[in-house]
Amino acid sequence: MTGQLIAVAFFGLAAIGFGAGVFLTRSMVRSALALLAAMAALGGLFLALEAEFLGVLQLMMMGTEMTLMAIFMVMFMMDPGGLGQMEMTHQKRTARAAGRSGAWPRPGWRSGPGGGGGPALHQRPSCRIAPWGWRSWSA
Amino acid sequence: MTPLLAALLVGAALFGIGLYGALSQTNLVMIMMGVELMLGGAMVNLVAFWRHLHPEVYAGQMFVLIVMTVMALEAAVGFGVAIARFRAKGSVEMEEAAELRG
Repeated sequence: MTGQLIAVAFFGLAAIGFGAGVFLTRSMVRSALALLAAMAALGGLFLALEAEFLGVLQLMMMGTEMTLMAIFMVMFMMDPGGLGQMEMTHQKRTARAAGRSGAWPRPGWRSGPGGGGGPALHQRPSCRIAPWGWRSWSA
Repeated sequence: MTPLLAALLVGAALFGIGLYGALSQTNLVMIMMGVELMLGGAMVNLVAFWRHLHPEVYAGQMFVLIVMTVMALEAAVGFGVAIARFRAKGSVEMEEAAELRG
């Protein structure tokens, strides 16, 4: 379990780092290569989670797809090398807020067995367990 | 911290980064990269839940295969739109594609 946790953390941090690098660099070719590395790290993460078929499939498919994407970048971009220092972004504040709200766990996310404070999710009054076994929350 | 929690945090972070990229970039290919990252985050969640909740049921892996197919289709359709746009207007900047607004 510990080895798997270390492998998941390693490949996960690599995927997050390269994924952030996609939008941090000005060179579009570097962006495509960073995305390729992020997808390869995801393949490693799948292998660490013992999904061998999906891991190898991810490595093969995304390797091809991101290489294609790099070629299209060079074909279509006005400044693929990022040497012209062009501004290629807009509505940054909205995007940053949306990204943060998409990634950040909501308050009470650790509630439940083994988690932090508060009752377990299935014990909350707002939680209903449907006859077919799925839980649903009204709040 | 369990591997499930670590994988879910990775998936959430990838989704957030992809959402930021899809909303903030002006180039069509960069927007596609953001969408790819968001789908990658969804795939991490699917694989983690499959592995740690129901590893004996392979429906979870089938979901991941469907998402992978969606990623490939998104790339194919996106590149098709990019080629058409580049031929018509000479640019794939979405700031200049105001006529595509609904």
